[in-house]
Amino acid sequence: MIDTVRHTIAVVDDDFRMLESIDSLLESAGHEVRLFSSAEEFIDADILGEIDCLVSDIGMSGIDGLELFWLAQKSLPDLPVILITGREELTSASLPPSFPPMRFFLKPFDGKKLLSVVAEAIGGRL
Amino acid sequence: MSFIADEQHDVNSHNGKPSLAIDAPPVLVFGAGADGCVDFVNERWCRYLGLSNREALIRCQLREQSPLAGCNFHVEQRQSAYHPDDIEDLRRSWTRILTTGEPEDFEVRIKRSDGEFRWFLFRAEASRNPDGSIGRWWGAGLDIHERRQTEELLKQKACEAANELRLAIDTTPTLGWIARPDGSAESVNQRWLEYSGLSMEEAVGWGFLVAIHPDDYPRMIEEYRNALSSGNFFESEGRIRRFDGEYRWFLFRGSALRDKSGQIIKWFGTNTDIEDRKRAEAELVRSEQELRLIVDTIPGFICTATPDGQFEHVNRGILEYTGLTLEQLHEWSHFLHPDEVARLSEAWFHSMSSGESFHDEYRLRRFDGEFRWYESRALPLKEEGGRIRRWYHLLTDIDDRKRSEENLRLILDMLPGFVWTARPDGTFEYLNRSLLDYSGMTSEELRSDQASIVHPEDIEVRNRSFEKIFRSGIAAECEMRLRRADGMYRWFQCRTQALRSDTGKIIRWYGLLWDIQEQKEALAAVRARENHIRMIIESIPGMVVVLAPDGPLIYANQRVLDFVGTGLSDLMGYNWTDFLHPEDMPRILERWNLHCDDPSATWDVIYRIRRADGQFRWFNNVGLPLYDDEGQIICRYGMFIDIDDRKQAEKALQESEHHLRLLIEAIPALVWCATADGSMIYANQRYLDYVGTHLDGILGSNWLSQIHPEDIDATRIAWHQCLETGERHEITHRIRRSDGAYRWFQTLAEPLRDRDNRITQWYGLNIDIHDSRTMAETLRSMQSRLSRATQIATVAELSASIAHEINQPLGAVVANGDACDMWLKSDPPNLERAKAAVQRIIRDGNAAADVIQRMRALFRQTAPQKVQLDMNEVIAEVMRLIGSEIRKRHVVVDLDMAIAIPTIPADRVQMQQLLINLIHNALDAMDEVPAFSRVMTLRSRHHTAGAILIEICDRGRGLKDPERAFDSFFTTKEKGMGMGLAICRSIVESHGGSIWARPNELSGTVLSFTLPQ
Repeated sequence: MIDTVRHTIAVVDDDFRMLESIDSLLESAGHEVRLFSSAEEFIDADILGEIDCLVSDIGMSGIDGLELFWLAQKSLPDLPVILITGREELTSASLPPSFPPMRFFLKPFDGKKLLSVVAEAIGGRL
Repeated sequence: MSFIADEQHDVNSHNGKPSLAIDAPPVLVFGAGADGCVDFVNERWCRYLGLSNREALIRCQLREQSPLAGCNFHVEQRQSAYHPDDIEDLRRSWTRILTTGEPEDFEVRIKRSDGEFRWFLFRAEASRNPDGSIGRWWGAGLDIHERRQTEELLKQKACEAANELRLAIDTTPTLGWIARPDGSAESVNQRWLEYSGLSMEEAVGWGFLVAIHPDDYPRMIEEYRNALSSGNFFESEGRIRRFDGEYRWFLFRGSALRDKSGQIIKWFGTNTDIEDRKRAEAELVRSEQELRLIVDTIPGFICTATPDGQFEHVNRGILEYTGLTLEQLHEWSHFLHPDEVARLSEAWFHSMSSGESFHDEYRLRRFDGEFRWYESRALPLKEEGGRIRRWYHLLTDIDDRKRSEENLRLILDMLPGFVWTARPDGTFEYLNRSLLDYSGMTSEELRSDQASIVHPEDIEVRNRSFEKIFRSGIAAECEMRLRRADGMYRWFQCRTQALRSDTGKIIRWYGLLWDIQEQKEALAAVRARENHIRMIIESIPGMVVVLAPDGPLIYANQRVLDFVGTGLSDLMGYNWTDFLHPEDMPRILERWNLHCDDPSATWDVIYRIRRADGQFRWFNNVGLPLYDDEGQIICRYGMFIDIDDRKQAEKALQESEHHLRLLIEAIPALVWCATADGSMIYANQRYLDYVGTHLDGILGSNWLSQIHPEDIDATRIAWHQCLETGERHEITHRIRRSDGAYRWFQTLAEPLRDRDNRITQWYGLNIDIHDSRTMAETLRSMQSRLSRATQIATVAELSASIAHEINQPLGAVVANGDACDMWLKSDPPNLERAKAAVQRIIRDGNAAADVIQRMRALFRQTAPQKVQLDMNEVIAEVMRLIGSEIRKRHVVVDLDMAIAIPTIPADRVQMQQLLINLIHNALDAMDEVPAFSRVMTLRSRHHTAGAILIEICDRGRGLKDPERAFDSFFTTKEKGMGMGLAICRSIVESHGGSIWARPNELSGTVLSFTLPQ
């Protein structure tokens, strides 16, 4: 059932523990993972065209996850974005209406569900 | 009779035998024994008798019985040598001599040998034994026959004359009488008898006395006796009874008839009927008495004096006035003033000696010692030939006149001016004391030489003036210098005036001189000063004008001329008013008229004057009148101060004030002002319009009446508290609008303080917050809801933040778990990666535990910071912190603080929290009760030896279960979470104290807590 095609996924989070755990999780599913500790770092890397999916934390200092989503949407509307947050007060209602609710995850989240959403998002692109 | 003594001696020495010497002198000598028996007669006697010695002895015995020679023979009268007529007297004389032992003379006729009796004068004397007893008697007789005969002849002649006189007496129409030397009547004349109706027998002797009037009897007898003993001419008046019993007055006159030796032989007298004269006299006396009565009763003093000046009669008035008798009045010093006795004596003596009438004024001493002035006039009554018979005096009381005269004179004398009067011809009459004192001359000296004190240079002027005055008779004045006593001349003004009679004749001149030296000097000084002032006026840097008293300009200084740009001549008179602004003229004239009515008022007027360039500038014209000594205005000085700039500024100020006022009135709030003691003194129109009253309705404390009854107490308390403390006043209360509706106002007041930080006034602003308050009420309920929401939100936020902190590691743990699961499920299981994931799970799980640990530490309570606290101070702090909250809730706080409460170790913030919490509870408890019963009591006490007690008492509904009140999550309040009292207990207990609740006496709850020292 494992797809042999390797896809590249970028992960942005200011908490290194989350970066490590998501990296481990995505790699276990056979994805190539690029880790960034802030939105600015990700933008500077300018790899938007090289990746298949973007996973980002919302609550970050500087450019937060939502802004990053808007930026990505502007330059690459088809790029699937998955947002994760630790703040319980944020719900899918706080997100733009165009944002698919299934791509919003509240910490702590189900890893397998993330992998399936990632797989689905990448598959949709295909 | 010395010879007898010698004889005696001889006789005695010769054993009683008289020598021949005794017979030699032509005297008859006898001797007698002590018993009086004659035992010796001398030879001459014997010869005279022509008898023998023995015979002579017998015949010459002086006694009836002679014990001589033991014989007791009786000498018959006819045998005696003595004249029978004389024997009786002789024997009596002799007996008397023997009895008394005193020598005595006696006369006796002895018969000579030729039978002729001749008169002898004998003298007998006793010769005494050495022991004083009478030894013998000796006598000697001298022939006095011839002398005696002559006497007899004379007597006879006298008798004849008397008889003739009697005849004469009998024939005279008067009553006549003859009396013996002893006064007894010898005879009265026929007329006497006829008059008295007595017989001669009845009248002679002392019988005539019966006819004398009994009333006259004692007096007349006395006078008669005096005349008899003195032998002086007797004159008396008395009444004699006529035969018909009527008494008539007679003048008794008697004179003595004397013999050669001067012995009174008889008295001859006449009684002349003087009845008619007496009647006339009586009549005279009566009329005199009447006169006297008149004289005595007239209110003047009248007296008469003899030509030599002795008072004869004084009327009763004088006696009563002086309190003296007539006799005392003879001594003038008794009734005259001591100062005047000498002068008056002299004047009176002059009148008496010259016969000129006496006229003087002098003081008479009254009985009580007081002196009064009298005018005395005395006129002499002269007989024909010019001899003065009597002086008549009239004294009139002129005391009042005199005193007023004295006063007048005193006034004249004391006048600082000189006064004189002169006769029509110009000679001085009176010169007052001041003039005399000034000149140092007597009035006589001045009268004689008036000109002597006039300055030589002024004499001409004075004379001309006087001549003119005297000639014209018109009052006039002149000035001249008069010499003072010390030789200095001073200037005098002399005013002379004439007093005229009805016919216009000049009666007297009156003159008044007054010293004008100083005036003269002052005038000179004034002139000098005037020049000086003119100089000053010119030099001062201001505009000055000088006006005549009635307004015309007489001088203006150069600065004025420079300003108006014209010469002085263009300003003179009233021309200067041309330079005034026409608009100001009516006002100036009005002020000027007022000023003329009351010149003492200051002249201070502001008006415009035209400058040389035609521009008007504002000036403040201040005027000052200059007065002369009589208070008349000499001139007015006017000073002009350019106030144009000030005027402009004033105008601006007025405008700004106007704006300010407009502003105050325009402020959409009630503005007011009160004194330091809180009495309202001003309120803006808006305030008045709002409450619908006049200013009076809010002045003082009246504004309180417009406060809502429920708010009055709180307002008054708050306001008074501010007045006491000087803190800013802030209160929200309801004020009644003119239509009766109450609206909520936020009232603010701030004190205005002076430099000494004393409050001078309060300025207040009442802002209508009715609408906003109602809105606020709404808001508050909204807010309470909101606050609850906020609480929830805060908790939510807190939990979110906690969640975020924990979710982060938890998220990692879960993700790692899933990854681990994936690595283990992969084929082949990647144990390496699974192991790494597991390790990270352990690490992040611990991280989450750490987060929770940190949270707990965050919420953990810190230990209290204890310092020594005075809980009274803490309570005061808390009251300040929540004072407005308390007022807002209309709660009255009753502070019942113990004095000098011990300090306790406590955490200030916790104590504040504790008190705030408890007070809030108390306030909350009273929200539901009526405002009037909202009283909270704060009490502090020294509880026990080691603790203090604080109590917070409310009047709320009270706790149903005080024991449970301190449990957590127990609450009676909807809003509360039930944590307040639990926290309070933990604070109190952490300080080692205890807290409890009990019901208040009437209603509500008392929360008490103790804190140990």
